[in-house]
Amino acid sequence: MNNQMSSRDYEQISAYLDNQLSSKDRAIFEERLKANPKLQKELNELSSTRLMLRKLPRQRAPRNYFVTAQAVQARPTFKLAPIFGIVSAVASVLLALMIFGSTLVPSAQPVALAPALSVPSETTAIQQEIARSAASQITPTQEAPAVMLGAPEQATSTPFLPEQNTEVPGITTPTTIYIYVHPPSETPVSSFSIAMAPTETPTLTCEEYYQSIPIPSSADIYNCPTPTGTLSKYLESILTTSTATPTYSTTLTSSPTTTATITPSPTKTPTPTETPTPTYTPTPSETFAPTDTPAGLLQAAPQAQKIATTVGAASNADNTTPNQAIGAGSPTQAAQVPDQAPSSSPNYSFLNYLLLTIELSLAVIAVLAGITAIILRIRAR
Amino acid sequence: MDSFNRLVLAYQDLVYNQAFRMIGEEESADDATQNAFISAYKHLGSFRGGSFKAWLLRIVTNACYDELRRRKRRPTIPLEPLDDAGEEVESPSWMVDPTEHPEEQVQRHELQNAIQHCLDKLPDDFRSAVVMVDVQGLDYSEAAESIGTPIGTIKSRLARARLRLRDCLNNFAELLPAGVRLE
Repeated sequence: MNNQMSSRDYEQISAYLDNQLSSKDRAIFEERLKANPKLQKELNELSSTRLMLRKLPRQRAPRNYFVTAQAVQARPTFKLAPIFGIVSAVASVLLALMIFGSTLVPSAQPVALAPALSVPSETTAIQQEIARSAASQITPTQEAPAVMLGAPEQATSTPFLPEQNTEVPGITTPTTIYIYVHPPSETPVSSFSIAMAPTETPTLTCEEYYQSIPIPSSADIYNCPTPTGTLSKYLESILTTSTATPTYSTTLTSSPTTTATITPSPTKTPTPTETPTPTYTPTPSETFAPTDTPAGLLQAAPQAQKIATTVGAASNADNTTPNQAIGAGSPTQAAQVPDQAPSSSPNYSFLNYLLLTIELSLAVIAVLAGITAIILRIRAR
Repeated sequence: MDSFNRLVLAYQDLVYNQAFRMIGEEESADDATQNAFISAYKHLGSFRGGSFKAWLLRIVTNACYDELRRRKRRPTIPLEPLDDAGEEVESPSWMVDPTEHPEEQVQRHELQNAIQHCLDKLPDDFRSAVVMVDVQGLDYSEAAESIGTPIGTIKSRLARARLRLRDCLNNFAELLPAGVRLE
């Protein structure tokens, strides 16, 4: 019977029952009812159905549904679920970018061996300068730089501090030797100037820089010695990657009353000055290699030891040289290192730790936010 | 909030009745009604005038949809027994036991259960339309405003819902009064 009736017929029946037809449509529909008993039968059945629905008792509310402030405020948990989900997703995406993005970007950290060919000539030059310096008369006319005066604070923390109290003629013992490694200059190695004038090389700006600017930039840190605690890292950095031809200036500091500054120059003027504290010899030889030392540094280490031995032997042959410091070996390793500062070895390690910390933080945030979102979703159900 | 609670007192029977007929369960209807009033209080700013009853019924209808979706995610054991083929028995034996001669009140109660059973069988859209028009007594325009659909859609859904209800109630013919007995 239903197949004989169209959906429009049922819509008209329903609208007729609800008195929703216009007067014209209602008249037409009533004419059809008189002529079609099946349509009349459907109308009766649907009318009975409608009547039963209208006779359904009205359900009374079992209680009062007053809205309270607590009820209004106690429902933010479901809203927080998508927020936590978004936070988890964003943290996951950032973590993925940090992990896989680093593989796409080529590393800016150069790894290179120290140039072995340039080392013998440099060592020879240092030996010659040390010999000439020891032979010359040291005049206490020049004060030690401020950075040198502060250096002996490291003495207690340096396990490799040499305890050599041998008196050196012309220099009041004990002796502290600082070897300043300067950035490369166009001046040939054989034509060192006594003061390494700033106009010739940019290296002397280091002292000026330390006096004028409280916070040095990374480039100046690499180019200038830092006798206040980062020398080993500095040496580590320049040992790993430097390739340029170095220039040197050697500063001898004798304490407690004099400081001898020896610069490799034909017109050398050692200037012993007073220093406030006893001796300190920077000895990075045993402590400069960190756990993440590149392979190039490890390969360069025997070469450095060989040079140290050579310089030490030459110094011992000449009694006028401050061979205590040279014999300690550590300045020798520093001396063989070219002064072209590497790009970012110390900061690279710091950057690694920083990136690792960020990645771990993102991972923790992603996991915790995801778990929280899941819990809120489950509770909302 | 006190003013709104006065509105709650005035409309809570209407809202609860809509929720109960939509869901068919007292506990869920209670939750949906409470959620509807809280939602209405939070979104009072979205009321643009017109029929407050229609606006309130729209909110409770949406709350019922949410509740029905939750119930679909957490299906409960049906009250209706299953036959040998695993299909639900449309006219359970506990409702059509021929050996009993229930009193008129009991029979009326069973008829109400049968109607509610048939309402529950309807699709949500059809049920909301037929409950608003036939149970709550709204006209087409109010129902269209409450559901958020054109009047023509209400007409179509209402006609099809009544037809399905008629077919469903034919399975409970013994419960129907003589004057409204369907064939």
